[in-house]
Amino acid sequence: MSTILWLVPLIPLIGAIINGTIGSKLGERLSSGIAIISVIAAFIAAIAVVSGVSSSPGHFVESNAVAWMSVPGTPLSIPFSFHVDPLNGGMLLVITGVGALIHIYSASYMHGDKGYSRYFAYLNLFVFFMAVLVMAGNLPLLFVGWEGVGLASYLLIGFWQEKWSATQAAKKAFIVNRIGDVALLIAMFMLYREFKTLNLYGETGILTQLTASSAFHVETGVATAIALLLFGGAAGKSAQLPLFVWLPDAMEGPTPVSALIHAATMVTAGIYLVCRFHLLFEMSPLAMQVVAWTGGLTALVAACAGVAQWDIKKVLAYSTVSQLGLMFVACGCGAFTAAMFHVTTHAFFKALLFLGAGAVIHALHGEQDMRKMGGLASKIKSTHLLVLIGTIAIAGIPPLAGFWSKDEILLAAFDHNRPVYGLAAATSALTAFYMWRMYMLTFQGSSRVDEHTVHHLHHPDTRIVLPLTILGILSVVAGFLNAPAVGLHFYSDWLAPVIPSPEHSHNSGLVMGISVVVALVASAISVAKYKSYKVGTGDKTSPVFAFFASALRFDDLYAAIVVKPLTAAAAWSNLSVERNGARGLLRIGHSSVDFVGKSVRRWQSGIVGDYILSMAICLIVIVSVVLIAGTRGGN
Amino acid sequence: MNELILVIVALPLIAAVIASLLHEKSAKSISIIGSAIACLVSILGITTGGTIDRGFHHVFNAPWLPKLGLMFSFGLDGMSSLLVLLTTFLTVIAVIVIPAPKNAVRAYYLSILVAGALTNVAFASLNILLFYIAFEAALIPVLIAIGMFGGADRSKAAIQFFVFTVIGSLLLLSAIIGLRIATGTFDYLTLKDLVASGAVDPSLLRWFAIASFVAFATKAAVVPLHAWLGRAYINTPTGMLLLLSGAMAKLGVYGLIRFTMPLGGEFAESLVPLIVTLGAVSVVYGAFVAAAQTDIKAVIAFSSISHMGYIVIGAVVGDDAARSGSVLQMLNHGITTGALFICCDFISRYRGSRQVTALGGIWSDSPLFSRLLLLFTFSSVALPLTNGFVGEFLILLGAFPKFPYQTAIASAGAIGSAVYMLWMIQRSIYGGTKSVGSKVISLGVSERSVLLALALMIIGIGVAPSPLLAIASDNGHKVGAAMQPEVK
Amino acid sequence: MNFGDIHAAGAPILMAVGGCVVLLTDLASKRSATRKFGTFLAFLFCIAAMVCSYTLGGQLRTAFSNGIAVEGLVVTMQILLAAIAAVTIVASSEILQSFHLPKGEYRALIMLASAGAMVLVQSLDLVNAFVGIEIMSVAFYVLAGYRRAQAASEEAGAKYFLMGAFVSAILLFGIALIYGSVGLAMKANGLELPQGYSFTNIVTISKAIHQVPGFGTSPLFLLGAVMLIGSLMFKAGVAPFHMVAPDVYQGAPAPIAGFLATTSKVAAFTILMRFFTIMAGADTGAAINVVVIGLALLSIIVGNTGAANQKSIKRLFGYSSVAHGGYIVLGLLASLGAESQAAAITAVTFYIVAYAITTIGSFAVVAWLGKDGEDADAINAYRGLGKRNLGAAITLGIFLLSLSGIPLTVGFLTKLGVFMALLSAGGTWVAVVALIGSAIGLYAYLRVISEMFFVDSSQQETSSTDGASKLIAVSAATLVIVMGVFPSQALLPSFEASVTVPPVSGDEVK
Repeated sequence: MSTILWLVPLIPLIGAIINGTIGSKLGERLSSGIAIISVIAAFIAAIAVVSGVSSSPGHFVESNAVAWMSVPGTPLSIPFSFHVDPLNGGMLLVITGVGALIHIYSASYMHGDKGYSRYFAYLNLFVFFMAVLVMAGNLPLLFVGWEGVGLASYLLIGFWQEKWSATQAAKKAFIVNRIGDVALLIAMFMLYREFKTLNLYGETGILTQLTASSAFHVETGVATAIALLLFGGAAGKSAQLPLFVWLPDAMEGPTPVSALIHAATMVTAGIYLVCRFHLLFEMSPLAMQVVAWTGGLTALVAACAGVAQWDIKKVLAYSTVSQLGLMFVACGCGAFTAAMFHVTTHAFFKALLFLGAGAVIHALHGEQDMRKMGGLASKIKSTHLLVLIGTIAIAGIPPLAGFWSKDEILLAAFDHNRPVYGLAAATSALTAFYMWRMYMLTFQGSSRVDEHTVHHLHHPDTRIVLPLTILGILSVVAGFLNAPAVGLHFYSDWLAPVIPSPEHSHNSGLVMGISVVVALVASAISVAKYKSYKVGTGDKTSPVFAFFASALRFDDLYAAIVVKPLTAAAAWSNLSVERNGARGLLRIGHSSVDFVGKSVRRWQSGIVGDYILSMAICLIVIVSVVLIAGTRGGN
Repeated sequence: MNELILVIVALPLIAAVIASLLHEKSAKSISIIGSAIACLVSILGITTGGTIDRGFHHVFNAPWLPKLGLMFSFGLDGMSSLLVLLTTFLTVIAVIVIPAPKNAVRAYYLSILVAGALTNVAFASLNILLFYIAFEAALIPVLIAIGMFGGADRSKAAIQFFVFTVIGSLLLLSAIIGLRIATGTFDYLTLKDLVASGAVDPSLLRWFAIASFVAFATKAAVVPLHAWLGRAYINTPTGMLLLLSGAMAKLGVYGLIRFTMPLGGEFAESLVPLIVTLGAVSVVYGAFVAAAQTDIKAVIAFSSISHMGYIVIGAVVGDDAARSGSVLQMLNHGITTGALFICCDFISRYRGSRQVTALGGIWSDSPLFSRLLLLFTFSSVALPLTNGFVGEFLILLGAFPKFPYQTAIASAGAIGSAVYMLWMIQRSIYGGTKSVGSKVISLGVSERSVLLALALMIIGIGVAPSPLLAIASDNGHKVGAAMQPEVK
Repeated sequence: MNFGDIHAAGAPILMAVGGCVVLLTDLASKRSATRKFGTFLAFLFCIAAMVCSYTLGGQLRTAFSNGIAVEGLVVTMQILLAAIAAVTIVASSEILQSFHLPKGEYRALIMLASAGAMVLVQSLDLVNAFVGIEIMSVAFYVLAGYRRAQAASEEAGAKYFLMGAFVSAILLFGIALIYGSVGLAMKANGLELPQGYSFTNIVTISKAIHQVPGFGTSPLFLLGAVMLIGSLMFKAGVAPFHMVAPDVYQGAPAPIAGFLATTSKVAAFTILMRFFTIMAGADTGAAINVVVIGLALLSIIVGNTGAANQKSIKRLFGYSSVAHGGYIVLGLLASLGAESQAAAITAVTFYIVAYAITTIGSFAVVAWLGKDGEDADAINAYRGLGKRNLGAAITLGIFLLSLSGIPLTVGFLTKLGVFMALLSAGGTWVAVVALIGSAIGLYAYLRVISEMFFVDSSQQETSSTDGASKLIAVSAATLVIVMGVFPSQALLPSFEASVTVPPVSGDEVK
């Protein structure tokens, strides 16, 4: 079993290495073939692993440990070791499964790009790091995956390097993530100080010690500090306030990348981390509050921004941020199962929507502005149908997946944190609104596509339709993995060994009712509003709209309060301290020496009279010194 | 086997002499041969062997000026053997990759080989006076290299660098003499035992701690004693810069671990908070200054201040993991920064400029070079699975329990490094070609293989650092500095 | 007055006689022939003097009714002085030629000055010392102004003479005071004069100091001692009595400047060493220490700062000689401490020898690079020398590094020795100030190095014709390196063996 564990990350890594070194010589078919097969193989391995988990008595499988960092003479020894249990097993399936689908999709989508093999190298590299992240048996290894996916994301966002905006966005993504990473790093140091180990599992592992908290006790203050630092890391990866600004820009990357990394998998790493440490978070009510509120506010802010976007990918980007916010709401309200479940379903329908959007963009030769779309329903039927499914799913209309998972979250918020519930409810209303807005603008109404494009629409081939279809089916049925209302709770049972199943709530009927009504009403309004959209009509002129469109001007805010001051500080330390200061210091030394030297030479007038005079004076001085000092020395 | 270090030191010198006698054409190949053999021999230095005395192997003793207590006494432990290996290795690649200036080929190779040899003497010496002599004499070839083959600002840079570092080492000299008068010996091991047994007048040790710290901190360019670095690095010819930044700057940290901490007594211990704070300040300050540069060589030069900050913290914090990490990080910094400076040199040679404003679009016409540069960059940014991460992680992990706040600040430096390095990459290799007279960067076989070798080391150390850590953890501290001197 | 006495005073006698012989032969013979022959003759006498004083060996002996004493230190210094004289004579033939200066007188003067210096070095009686100084100085005055045609040289001579006269007076007065104080003290305490010693004899003084309570701090004696020390410091060119030195060094032609700079220092410091050793361990109060420290630090600061940003290289060497005088005085200071005395004497002796070699060499380079006799004095004339004349540049570079005390040159070992003696005598903060001083000095010397190697210039090849100076410079540079790396092999045994016998202090004699 342990060898199969190794296969999951290593096969994609091999694929990445092949494509990264000799890929350019292989030609499109071969390099994409290698990439796809490697991920599918990883998927199969993952299935084997997960079945192993379910069959094993302890509900986990562990790999053998291979030496990585160890310092002789110190307790410190950090191996490469993997551990899979229900929590990350599920994610592993999503990562490799959805990953495989998106690889297939990309094979067609990226056709003809001069960086074709490089693209697949990066994509495989991402799958490798993502697998390492979730499977890691200790924190440093988790950090490897954590920064590794950041690297992959950096490379893929900036994939089209000639585009300034692309490289800019890539840099922004990496740096903002780095801020979170540092928080995670410090959290790691604190955990090491408290637990004397960095292993997560095993009898001395951090999580084990946390479970047996009778044996080991962390005082709440420390627990809060660590939890908040961990959440800081999570907020960076999962684009929460105040670090969400990188995700919308990340849409500069190829659309399949947005689907895989910035919707389905990487951005959910933060939720995974929090759920992994749920015991620690539950120790600190404050931390839970922070998580819940951050999630709620992020969800609402992003939803507002989503309402005001014209770029179809930007809509989905903000929608992703908002959905991630809901997941954190779930965590903050102690409903970790719900959070993980939403991670799963969201992976399906958001990937579906992104790939659908990609198909649309592809069809329109790269057009992303929804004002130049419309009436595409009749023209690209399959895509239309599947995007429609995705929209219904995310809008939270039963019985599709989004409804069930989101309902769990809202219920938990309703029970534990009413104000945050308010935020979440508002968010889901807005979600329904802007998703239908997107759907209507793109597929319904009159066509605003220019003639030439209309006649030369790219019609998606099977490599695009197949993944879409599979994701569509999943978006429909996945919800029933965990629908307590109809008595289905496979998923919570599956997670039970790691995260105890939530107790049944008596409010479920009420909350469900509310959300259904909200979703339907919001959808109806949106449909009505954008049924017959004409360019120039409507809301884009209003200042509120502009304010929303700029995501509440967070970028400008940071530019003002972070970037500008720091840049100034850098310039100052370079100019004032380094150049003038340090060199001024030397100049001072030089000139003072020069000064003394000058006076010495002035003394050296060259006139004998002066010489004799000064010599006589010196002698007198010396003599007097001697007579004073001498007599003093005498007695 | 005990003459090992003599061989390592002598070979490059012999090669240098021969090369300077023969015709210019043969100078390069002879220098390569000499330094390459020295490098291979210094691999043997890692293996424990020869006479072993209080934790040092390959111990060699011969009189030089016995009346002055000056002896040729050498010995290697894990730390010094690694640093000797680093020095010889950097010498080789410096000779191979960087072309010598047209007008004075032989003088150039002479200066590099001599500098490397003297640095090795310092690393391997077990006699403090001998260490001091090598420590200071090694400055002369650097002075010459900067002054004769350096950049536009070379004469100022040379004088500034020399005076600045010598002032520091003059203090060290007075402290060393003080020790000698108090103990009657320059022999390191004896001194360490004497100090450990508390036989030495503490006021003297206080002076030694202060003076040696100033000297070594100047060498390691710890803020605020870094003032010489900027101008010097920017104007140093790349070949010598590999040694200066890669090996000689390490003499500072080495000195802190080897001399200041064990011989400084309690007072040295009481200096630690200050040193750690200065280290953290260096990390942040270096990042800030680097972020404000437009010359890519300057970016990397100032990033060294930042990286050395981490290394200094790990060296003094008194935690085994951290110290081993910082020893390993000395190696890593030598490799990574060396690689980056080499890339700089290529860029300025082929693109005719080092200013980011004039660069761009390198990826499109030389992908291999760009990929390697990208790898070196992420190693410098300390991305996991590269060498940089292992060192910095161990340092910070070991330092945190004692100095949480300084460590937290230092960790934040990781953000800074991402900022300036990625900015540099974005401006230099992405985008489109700007400068007109720019040629495609074409790597020769030797150049390509050197860069690939560096890349492999970066990944190799990042994935499997344990063997090196095992060697690095033998840094003479556990031996001898154990509070009771062991009997010989 | 027996053969032993003659032998003991052999070196100066030989030099003096040699001087006369050279002068006479020069008068007797025709100009053209003498040039080589005269040089050869003078050279011969110098060698003879060296041999003579070498045969004296290391053991202590006094002669001329204890007027002079000879021991290892004296032997070393006399050999050194003779060598300096020989080298100078060889080196000067070029300038003598190009300025058509009379050669015979010149050689004679050199040798007479050297003779005087030797007398000074070995004199045990202060009166002898005075005689030696006067012989030396008078010759110096003439030499300094030897190039009459040139105003600068003449001025230098005049200045030197005037100052010298003033100082001689002070010296004489100091000796008189000491004489008086010793006499009074001994009479008062009923000590009688040691058999065969005068009141001005160092042995007597030492006896008075060590045996008469409170004598060491009696104002009369201290006054005399300070005047003596001060005037000798003038001869050694120590601040604040240094002022004439830079002028003279710049004014006089390079070889002469080298001769003056070294000979006077060697002689003055040796006699000072002797005078200090008798005061070692005696209660002379804080007075002497205070004065000596003051002089040392002052001349270190003055010398090094004065050398910084200098335009004339000969002036730079002048100031550098002031600075190094300061370091030597620090060594003397250490020799006042009873326990650090031996180390101090070794260090100072080594320092003096090394300094002499370095200085002779540096001035030789200045002469070497000069065009038809005119020295290459302006520092910017050295710009880009590394490209034009690498050999000269490297040679001068070695001297400069040695002067700034960089390891692997002799300059480092000399400084090391002095500092070790000083710190073991417990002068920590003094040492620190001195270190700062040498850092400043480093800056001064580096400027020249940078001019030579780091700055490109348009100047074209200077054709150097002066073979003798070239030879001297290069061999001196070699010595500087060899002594810096293997002093024990090069020099140490000779003078270490010698100075193991410490200079006389009252108790040993009898």
